[in-house]
This record gives sequence, C-alpha cells and structure tokens, in this order.
Amino acid sequence: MSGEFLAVSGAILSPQSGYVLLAIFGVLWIALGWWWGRQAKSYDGFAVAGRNVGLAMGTATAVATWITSNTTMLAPQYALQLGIWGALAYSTASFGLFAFAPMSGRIRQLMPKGYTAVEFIRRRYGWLGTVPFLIISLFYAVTWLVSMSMAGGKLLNVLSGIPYEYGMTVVVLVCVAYTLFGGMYAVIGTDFIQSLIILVGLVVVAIAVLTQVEIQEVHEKLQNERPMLLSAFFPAALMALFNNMLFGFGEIFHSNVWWSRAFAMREGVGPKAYALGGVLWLPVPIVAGFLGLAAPALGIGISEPDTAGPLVAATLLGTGGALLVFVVVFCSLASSIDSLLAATSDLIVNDIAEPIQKRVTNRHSSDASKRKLSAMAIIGLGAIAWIAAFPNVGSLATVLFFAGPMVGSCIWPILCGLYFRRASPIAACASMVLGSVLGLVAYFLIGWFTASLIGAAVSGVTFAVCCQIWPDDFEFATLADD
Amino acid sequence: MGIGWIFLIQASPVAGQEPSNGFESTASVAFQPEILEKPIVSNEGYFQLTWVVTGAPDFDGSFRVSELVDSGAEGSTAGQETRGSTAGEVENGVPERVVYEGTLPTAFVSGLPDGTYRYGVEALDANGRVIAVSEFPATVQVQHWLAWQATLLLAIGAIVFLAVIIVIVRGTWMHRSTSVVAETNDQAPEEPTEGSQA
Repeated sequence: MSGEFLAVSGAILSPQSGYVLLAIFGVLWIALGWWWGRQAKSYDGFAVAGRNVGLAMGTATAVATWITSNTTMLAPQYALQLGIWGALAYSTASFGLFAFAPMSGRIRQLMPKGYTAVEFIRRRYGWLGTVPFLIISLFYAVTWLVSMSMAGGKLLNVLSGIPYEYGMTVVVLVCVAYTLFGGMYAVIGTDFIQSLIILVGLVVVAIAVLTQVEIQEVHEKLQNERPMLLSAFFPAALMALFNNMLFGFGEIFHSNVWWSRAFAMREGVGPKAYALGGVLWLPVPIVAGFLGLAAPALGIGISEPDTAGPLVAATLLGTGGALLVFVVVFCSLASSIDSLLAATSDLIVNDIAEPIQKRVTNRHSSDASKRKLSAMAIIGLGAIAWIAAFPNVGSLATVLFFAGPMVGSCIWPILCGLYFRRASPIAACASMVLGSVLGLVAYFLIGWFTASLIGAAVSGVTFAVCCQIWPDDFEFATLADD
Repeated sequence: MGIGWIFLIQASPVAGQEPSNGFESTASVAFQPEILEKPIVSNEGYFQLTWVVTGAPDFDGSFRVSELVDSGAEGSTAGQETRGSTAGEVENGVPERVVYEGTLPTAFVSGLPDGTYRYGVEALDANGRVIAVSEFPATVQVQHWLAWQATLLLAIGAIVFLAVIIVIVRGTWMHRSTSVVAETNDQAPEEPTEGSQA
C-alpha cells in the first residue's frame, strides 16, 4: 500500500482551475448575499435578521458557522499531531453547542432587544467587566478571522498552487463584499446553502476515502511507524483533551457570533437549533481527523500539519477529490468569516461607536447611521484580517490557540452572570484578567494544548473566591430595558 | 464544458514536470543551521525539519527525508519502507525509512515514542534522480511529558468541565421552574431569590 500511495506533496489542481473555482463561488456568494440582503431594510434586519430566524435556518447557521476552516483543516492536524485522542478532542468542541443551547434560551429571555455579548456584560457587570471582555472579544474575533484568512490562502495554495497572498486576498474580499450587502440575512442565508454543501461534501469525501483505504492497513502502519498516534496514554493528547473542549466552551459562550444568532432566532428556537447543530457537527472532526491519521500511513509528505486534510483527500481522490475539498473548505471558510464580520461589526457599532456617539451628542444613533458604521466596521475588519494574515506566520493552531486562555477565562463570568445574582463585577474582571495571564503563561511554558484549560481553571477559582468576598445582588429584569 | 476541460487538462501532478537542466553537479542540500547546532527536543512527539538547497537557483524537483540508522545496524524492520539506495550514506548513518517526500523544503513528523532520531534529506531532480544529499544529519530527541503531568491536567479539565455542566443544569432548572410558575400566574418572570453561589 505504501508504494502505491507514496505521494509527492504538491498542488493537485492547476492555478487556472483554482482561479475559476474562486470566481464561480465568489460570484455565487456575493449574488446570494445581495439577494438575501434585500430584506435588511432596518438595522434590526441587518444586525439580527429581524429576530425571526426559524429552526431550519437556525440549525444550519449553527452548523455552518461551527464547521469552520479550522474544523476541516485543524481536526486533521489534531489527529496528525495527537493521534486518535486528538480527533476525539476536537470533536468535543460540539459540547460547546450543547452547553450553549439552554443558555441561548436564557439570553433571548433576558434580553429580547439585545444585540451583542458585550452589551450583556456591560449591563451585567458595568465597565469593570466590559473592558477586559471587550478586549478579549475583539482579540479573539480578529485572531479567528486571521486564522481563517490564512486557511483560505493555504488551502488554495496546497490544492491549486495559487500564491498564498492571492488566494487569501480573494477569500477575504468575497466575504467582506457579501456581508456588506446583506448583513445577518445574507450570512444566515448563505450559511444554509453552505452547510448543505459542507455536509454532503464531507459524506462523499469520507465514503470515497474509505473505499480507497484499508483501515486495518492504516492501523498496522501507524502501529509500526507512529505508535504514539494510536496510544491511549499519549501524554500531550491527554493534556489537550479537556483543553479543546473548554476552548470550545469559551469560544461559544463569549463570542458575539453565537450571541447574535441567539438574538436573531425566534423565541424558543435557539435551544433546539444549537442542540441539533451540535449533533450534526459532532462526527465532522472525526471524519476529518481520519484524513490526518491516514497521511503518515499512506506515505503522503506533510510539510504544514494544517494542510494534511485537504492534501490527503486530494491525493487519494485525485482531481475530483481536490475539487470537492476545495468547495467544502471554501464554504466552511466563507460561512465563518461572514459570521465573524457581521457579529464583530455589531459589536463595534453597538459597544464602541454608539456609546461614544451618545456620550458626545447625547442622542441615540439613527438606523441609517448604524448601517453606515456597520459597513465601515466590516471593511475595517476585513482590512485588519488581510494585513495580519499576509505574512503567513505560524500554523493555524498556534494562531488560534493563542486566544485560547482568554476565551477560556470568559466562561465563568458569562455563565454565572446569566444565572446567578451574586456574580459580581470584581469577580468577572479578576477572573478574566488572571485566567488570561496564567493561561498565556501555560501557553508559553507548557504548550498551546494546555492554555485554555489553565485559563478556565484559574478563572473559575478566582471567580468563586471573589464572589464569596465581594458578592453582588443583581436585578435581572434590568437587562430587558431598552 | 470549458471549465471541465481546464480541470481535466491542467490538473496534473507535479511529478510530471520538465526534466532538470543539469544543476546536479553544484547543488547541495543541508538542514537549517539552528537544527544542526543543537538537537530538536520535542515533548509531544512531533516536530518540523526544514532545509535549504543551494547551487540550484531554478530547482523544480522534490525532497526525500529519511530516518537514519547507524551504518553497522541492521536494515529496516518489517513494515518499514527502505528507500534512497542511490543517496549514499549521510554522516553517521544510512537512510532507513522515508518520513517525507514532497516538493516543499519542510517535513512534519509526528507520533514518535521517546528516543533519539536522526534524519537525512536528499534533493531529487524532476526525473527523480538524487542530485544532493545532506552531509550532516538532523537530530531530534523525543521526550514525552511525564504521566503525572498529563494525569494532573486531565483531572483539572474533568473537574472544570463537570463544574460547567452542573452550573448550566442548575441555572436552567432554577430559572425554568421560576418561569413556569410565573407563566402559570400570568405574570412576568421573577428571578429567584436564592443565595446562589457562583
């Protein structure tokens, strides 16, 4: 088997093919974004899709957003680096969707007119909690954007040989364009189509790969040459297991990408949509992870671990596989980048620009003014992502997981802030700051695969202690006020 | 139709490229100096090896990285592939098992148990002929995290995870029961007055 599959890593498609695919899907997404975006007549429509998203669209957007390029590219990387435990660890990110399901109902109930996660923190904890949370939210959003923009450039380069800089630029431009046209309507509408393409594509890739690969042979080869990938006692993999789960919790609990969907969904839809989304998402990293495990067994040369999945699928399945992988990953990229652009622009408009404008003019911003600010924010975010992704420094995991300790330290302030009166501003601030700092120390001293875990653990202890010393007595009804 | 033609005609693997133009006499390949200066130490069993080709400005071939064994040691074991017989011996060892074959000057290797490993790299022209072999091997020392360290972090993770689940279940149950009572009384939901602990 090793001889017949021994592949030379390199582009499978020609650059011209890549440009054609880019053009087709770029035009398609922009056209769909414009089509769906016609409904966005008010700022409420643009930012939270009129707060009337149903179960099908809600589930699809949860799945599409959570199946990021990181899922299709990082899950194989996890498996390649940390073996079977790595693939399982990545799949635990679906627990974040399960956990957020009941929380989304609570969020919708508490803040029927809300827009962002930062707005909740501001009302719940005041500025003491808002400052660190806003910094973390923006940092994470930009990090995620950058990692996905990088993924776009890398994917196109690996599959078709298009220079990284060109591919990355086109991906960012297309996503900025259609998000700009249609806001949340466009994002959720395209997410629906993209989730269908992604799920069908992954099933086809999985079946096609399984028909070409003998699992028994992969197992034997790994057992002989890379035994730690199959080991039940792989220390780094065991350390990473809960880290990834808690990173997923932190990402979903704190990120406005998920909060804006909770606000956008009809009353009662959120819990079902998020739970169903989790069920649909759970097997995806395991399927994608198998590609990573198959790489060394098949003798496929890997230079960058985050390109293992696309490279293996494309090598095994030839041109057809490369096309399929290209489409699946491009959809997963677009579905996440657009979500981030829309949700983060909401955050910039509602939590930075509007409070400043209100303080200066003593008036609320008009709908037209907020739409204009949103457009500027989307373009600005796209520009930042492009500039940061351009040098192509670091692997996707190292870029993304740098934000791990910070988002991990947001779990407790969000969670307890939603349910308990005693959760206090001092506790929120201290837990986010201390959790982030010590998590980053773990990131540098131990490794990226422990940072979220340390951040969440330190943050939890700090939060509990501070709530005992400085308890609050918050009135939840105030969150529903305009 | 036109697009289909583009894919069919242009989706060719890199192996089918033009022959080399005779730079084999001057080409050399070597691992990056920082890799040669001191061994790579990996606590996770994975690492990257990088190298450079010199004397071949338009190099369009590929590379092959092999794990080396001592010259006097036995050959490859069952299930391991031996390649590179034309490459000659790299200092202190002979190629035993190919761990990377590709066009990029970087190899990612993972899944290794504790031990010391040595690697050599060969540069091949577009026809697959070896044109340069690294003179000095790259040395990697794999030393996994200790069991107690992994167990400790696993335990901490389990505790934090359980705590999160307990808080969500308790919070949801607490507020749902309140909402149900409020709805029954046809009133706006009231918040519980418990002394909830975070």
